[in-house]
Amino acid sequence: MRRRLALQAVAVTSLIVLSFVVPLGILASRQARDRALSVAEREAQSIATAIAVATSFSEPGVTTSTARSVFDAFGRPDDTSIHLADGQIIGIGSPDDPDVAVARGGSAFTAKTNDGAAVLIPILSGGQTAVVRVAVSQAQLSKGVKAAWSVLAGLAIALLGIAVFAADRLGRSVIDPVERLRSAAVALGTGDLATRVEPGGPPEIVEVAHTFNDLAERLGDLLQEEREAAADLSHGLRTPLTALRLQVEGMEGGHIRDGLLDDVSLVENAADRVIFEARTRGSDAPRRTDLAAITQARASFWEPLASDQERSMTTRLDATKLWVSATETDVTTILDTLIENVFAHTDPGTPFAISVTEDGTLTVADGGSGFEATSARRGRSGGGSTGLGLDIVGRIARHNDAHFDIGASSLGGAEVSIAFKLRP
Amino acid sequence: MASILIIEDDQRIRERITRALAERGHAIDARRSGFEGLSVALEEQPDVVVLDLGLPDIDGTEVLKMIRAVSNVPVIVATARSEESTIVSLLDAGADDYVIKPYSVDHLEARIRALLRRLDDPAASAVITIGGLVIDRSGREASLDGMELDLSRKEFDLLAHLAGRIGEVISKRELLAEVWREPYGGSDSTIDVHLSWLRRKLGESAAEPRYLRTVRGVGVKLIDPTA
Repeated sequence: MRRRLALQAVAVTSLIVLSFVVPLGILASRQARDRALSVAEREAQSIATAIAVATSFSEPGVTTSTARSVFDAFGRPDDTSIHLADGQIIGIGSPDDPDVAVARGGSAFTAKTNDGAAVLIPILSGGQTAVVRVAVSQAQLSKGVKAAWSVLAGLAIALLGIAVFAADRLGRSVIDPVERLRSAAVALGTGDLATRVEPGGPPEIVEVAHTFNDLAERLGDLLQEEREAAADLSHGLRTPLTALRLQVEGMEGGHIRDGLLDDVSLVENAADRVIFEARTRGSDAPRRTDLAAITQARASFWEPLASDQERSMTTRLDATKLWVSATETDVTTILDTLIENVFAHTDPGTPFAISVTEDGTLTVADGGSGFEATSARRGRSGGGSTGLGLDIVGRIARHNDAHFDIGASSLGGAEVSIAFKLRP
Repeated sequence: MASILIIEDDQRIRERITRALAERGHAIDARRSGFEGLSVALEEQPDVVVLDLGLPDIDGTEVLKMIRAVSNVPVIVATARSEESTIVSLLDAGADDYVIKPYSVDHLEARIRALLRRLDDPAASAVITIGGLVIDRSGREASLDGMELDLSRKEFDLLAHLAGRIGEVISKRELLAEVWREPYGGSDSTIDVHLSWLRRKLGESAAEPRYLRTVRGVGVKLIDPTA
């Protein structure tokens, strides 16, 4: 956007500069031409006057000696010539010059020549006409024009530069607040509810920033209310569950009592899961986590148990730091659940491997008996598992826009992969 | 037998606990509101108070603070909130112990017994010495052969619980209930990994155990290897 604003400034300034610089340049050219011709006219007029005065004191007609004397006194050998009536020329000139012939008719004028221009003035004396011709070269006609154009071009370039700089400064005053707003919106969109934007820039942007902050605040409040509702839910569920458990415990012993106690335990676990998920959804923790660091930390935590159970445990991290879009709590829960599943559902001595690849994929693979692809659905797991752990992992993965996949591992057992979105 | 004051607003829970604990020989006084319970706690001086937090007239935490302001009667708080911050604030407010709902009568009675046992014999429970292992419960410190052990909170709780019953096999279910306060949930792997860390810090392993012995299919026990 800054580039577009700068280009607009260049376009507008260019038009303005052209509308002033071109006429100024043309004017400078004309002034140079007029100045050169004016000098030539004065010179020709001076010579003509001097000859006229000199001949007024002698015999009529312009004599060669008079013309020579005046030429030596006033003329410039390269430019000036005096064409006498008898065809004799003082100075450099052509006897066949048509302009001279015209001037002999009594007209003083400025003629265009191949080399520039010439000022011609007739001198009438004793019924004869001599002509003073002063040539003006093209270089004299355009003397100073190049310098004038250069100054004007430099001025134009400077103006364009100033315009671009000013447009950029002005653009930044608008764009920087918009950019901050955009960054904050992206952060909010990825779950960072603590993000706020510092209002700045034009009044409209300031108003948008305030509205954004109000919206983020409101979102935070709503999630806080949800968390409080979850806490109330925990109390609301656990108190009647306590009453139910105590009632069942008070029954006569037998299959019915034992079955009911098992059912109560299942309900309690389900309630715990609901509460856990409600709290997870309501978390306002930053959704940006170093997957490599957490994986290393959790692998280290579980390593002593793997050692005690004589399991080969390998951890492969393709990057030392790998920022993904997920909360630290969620990544930790996923890792602990997956590793715990390995310990719970494979025999001691069974190897397992944890890996993190540069594309943000976390994989936990084991050399156990594996499981069917339906394991992620609650209550449909093989291997004696309820599948609840994988169900939670799948839900947390989806909540973080991560892709959850299960299958067979190269170690011969199960493999669970979570492909997180990168968030550098 | 102990005299126990139950302050619980839920009638079914109140009645069931009253009946079950009375059947086990305890003297029970049950009250449904905070002010009623506060009055009885101060006047009757029971051996222990079981205090529910969700009371109709006043928040249970406020009742706890009022009791603690004028009495040293042991208080076990019954709470539906399992967040660590809640538990820490309750203990800071003066609770001696806590149970998380839903709980069973067995679980509640076990906690009452443990609390009264600690109060009856504070000196015995403060520092436990097992061979080269010394566990100071009140200071939450442990050392092995004179070297201080760097234990996490759960590792210390686990060690202290096992040390309280030296030589006795304790089931993982009990450890989940007593140390993790998850009587009906939790995972054996959670205990296993903490035991592994504990073994490592005690300088032993599952293959070459010294203090910590796993009894397969039953549980785990702490023994004195020098005995």
